[in-house]
Parts: sequence; structure tokens; C-alpha cells
Amino acid sequence: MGYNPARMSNSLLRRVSAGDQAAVEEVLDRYGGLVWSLARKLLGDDDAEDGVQEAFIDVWLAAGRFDESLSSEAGFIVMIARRKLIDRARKRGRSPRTSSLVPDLASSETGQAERLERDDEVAMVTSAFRSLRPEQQAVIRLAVYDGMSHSEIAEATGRPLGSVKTLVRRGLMQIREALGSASGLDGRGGAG
Amino acid sequence: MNDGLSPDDRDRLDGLLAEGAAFGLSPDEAAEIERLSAGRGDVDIEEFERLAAALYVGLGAGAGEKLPDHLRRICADQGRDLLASGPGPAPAPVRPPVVAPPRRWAGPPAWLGWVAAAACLLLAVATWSRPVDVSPAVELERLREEVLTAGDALTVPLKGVGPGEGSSGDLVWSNRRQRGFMRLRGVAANDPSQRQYQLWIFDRAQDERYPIDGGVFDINAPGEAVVPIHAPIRVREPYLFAVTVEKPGGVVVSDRDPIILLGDPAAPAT
Repeated sequence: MGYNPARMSNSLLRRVSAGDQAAVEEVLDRYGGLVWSLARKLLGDDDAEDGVQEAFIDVWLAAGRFDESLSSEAGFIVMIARRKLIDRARKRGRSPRTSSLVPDLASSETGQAERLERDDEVAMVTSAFRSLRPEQQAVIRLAVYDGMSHSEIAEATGRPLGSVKTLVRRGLMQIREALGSASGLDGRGGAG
Repeated sequence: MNDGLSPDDRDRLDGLLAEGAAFGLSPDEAAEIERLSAGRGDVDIEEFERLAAALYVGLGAGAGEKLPDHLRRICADQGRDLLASGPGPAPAPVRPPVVAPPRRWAGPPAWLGWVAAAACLLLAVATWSRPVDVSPAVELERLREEVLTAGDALTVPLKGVGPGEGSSGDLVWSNRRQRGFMRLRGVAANDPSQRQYQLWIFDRAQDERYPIDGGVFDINAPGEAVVPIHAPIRVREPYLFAVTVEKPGGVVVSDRDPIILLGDPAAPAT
């Protein structure tokens, strides 16, 4: 049997939900850095450790809901972790970040991404993202990748708050539409 | 797709979900999503969150990073504890992050007076916790023994008070490992659909109005039970432990529900 990263990763959360304690270790080895980076972006270094603990507790509890037909394992774990970390960041009324306010669209996508698990879902989303207008890419990247709030993005880019929200909203809808088209599914409209 | 929503409502719902996936939601926005999606099982409210998560991965986040060793150990311990405590609770409702109002102390004077009778304690609120099914499993005993031998283990007797009079137990906690266990005796079995027990950890590093939520748990049967402690944030200088009776799922704002057990590390052994 050949090595298949996708198959291997898809089995981890199932094993966790089945009570396999070794799978906990494997999830942490495989995805710990991803959640750690997310926590540092959203919470800052001081609060990141507590945030990571909260996030992984949610991951263990949600493991049984993982559906590989909907997302990759990395995507599922990031989704659960983002939800918890955004909640924590906003409760604390702050959104520190470790990255530059000025988006560098090229830098992080070259080289680094190739070292991560890249499945169809991630590749399709990233491709659709790259098809957006530069200003849409910029604000979405600041929100999703850098963890900035809409008011922080407005301040950093000089755009009105409403414009930031609209760019993010429409950009994400366009990505969804593109995914719907690529997979033959109904994108459900709504993109601007 | 015909999901029964008007085009305007569909656009509004999509907009809320997209912004929620990017920035989180206010309570009002979350309520609006609930209203718009109520009874519509075909509305995929996680769709934009999945998309944002995939994009985060696709942009190369986390490449080359790894969890610090001590944090990885804590997370692994917590995961193992959770798995060892038995079948997990039903999955929580799925929705984008909701920004809750700031936690606040809601205890009125009567509460304060009641607390004064219980070791001059100011019991407040902490974060939402997930139920932890208690099991007297051998595995929990083994994990408890690990904490006991951690070198920095704090051992605290637990004394039944109020409605918990007659119950007892002890608690072990390791700051270094950020894990601990309660061993409870004589605590009444609870009906999880009616009430649950909740542990609170008072930490000198925290405002005393905001004790740390140590987890919601059930007692399934009379006798001895070992309960893992799940603190969602780092416990630094614990100085008091209290178990309260709360509504199912635990509380965000604790009011006058009774304390049934107290553990004071400074109290003389009896």
C-alpha cells in the first residue's frame, strides 16, 4: 500500500472520535503548527497558548462531525479553531497580529504552500481566490489570513468600513460561486 | 436550490454568513441567522467558514511552524483526558463564531451573602464548558496517578456544603501539566436533562469575579467518581475550588445556584 497523505489525514479525526488516543498525538503533530499560527495571528503571542488549548478541546469534541466529503481534515480543524479563536479574540476586544498590515499577496503563497497538504478543496479555493480583483484579494487576505477585524482593515487600507465588508462579502460569495461552477454544483447566486 | 427563502432573505443570510466567517458575529447577527435559517435544514451555515478555513490553509499558513513542546504536551493530555472520560457529548450546534457580551458578575447581594457563608467566596461566571461524562474508569485512575506524581501536584480535600453536605472528595491539580482530577464520594447522581455540576477554579492571576470554568460534569451513579478537570485557559495560582449545580450545559452567568463542594488548599486537614 502506497503512502497517501489525504487518506491518512482523513482517518485521524475518525480515530479520535472513536477514542484512539494515539490519534490525538498525530493530529497535534500534523496540524498543531497550523492552529498555533492561527492563534498567534488572532490572539497575539501572549494569549495564543490559552487559545490553542481551547481550540483543540473543541477539535476533539467536534471530531465526530468531520465529513471528508465537505472539507479536508486540515480545513475542518482550522474551521473549528478559527471559530473558537475569533470568538476569544473578540470577547477580549482586541485582535493583535504578528504579520504586516500591508498584504504581500505573493510571498506566503510561494514555497510555503507547497509544503502543506494541498488537496482539491484547498487548491480550488485558492485558485478561485486568485481570480478575484486585487482589492478583493487584499481585504480577504487581511481578514482570513492575518486575522484583522473589519475596522482594522478599514484603518489599514483607508477604505470605508462598509466598503471593506462589501469586498469581503462579495469576494467570498464569488469564491463560492466559482467552487459551485467547478464542481457542477449550484453556487446559489448572490455574488456581486 | 429552492430553500424557501425570498431572494432578499437569501442575500441577507449569505451576507451574514460570509461576514461571520471572516470576522465573527455579534449576538444580534447570530440571532438573525437563527431566524433566517430556522427550520431550513438545507441551509449550510458552515459553508463560508469551510471556505475561509480552506483559504487559510491554501495561503500557506502554518508552514514550518510547530506547537511549542510544553503546549503540545498540555493539549495531548487534555485530549487524552477527554477521550478517557467516555463517549463525548452530542456535537454542539454548528454556527459561526458569536461574539458574546463581556462576562460579568451577576451576583446580587443575596448571592454574596450566601457565598460569604461558603468561605467568603465570590463566585462568578466563566466561559461555556462542555459536559464531561464521568467515568470511574481505570484509565482515569491511572491518569490521576500521573498527576499525583507530577512533582508539583496540589492535593486539596473537597468538603460538601449546603445541599452537598455529607459528600466529600479530593482534587489533584498540576500547574505544570495543566491537568487535574476530582475524586468525588457521595455526590448525588444528577439528571443531565435537569441539572449538571460545574467546577470553578479561583486563580490569583485572575480577577476573583471571574473564576476559571473547570468543566461541566455528571454523576451517573452513587459511589466514587473520578472527574477530569478541563480548564480552557491556563491556571496559574489556584486558591479555591468550588462545585456548583447549574442548568444543563453549565452557565455563562452564574447566579444563586448552590455550591455543593468547596476545596481550599489552605484549609487545615480535618
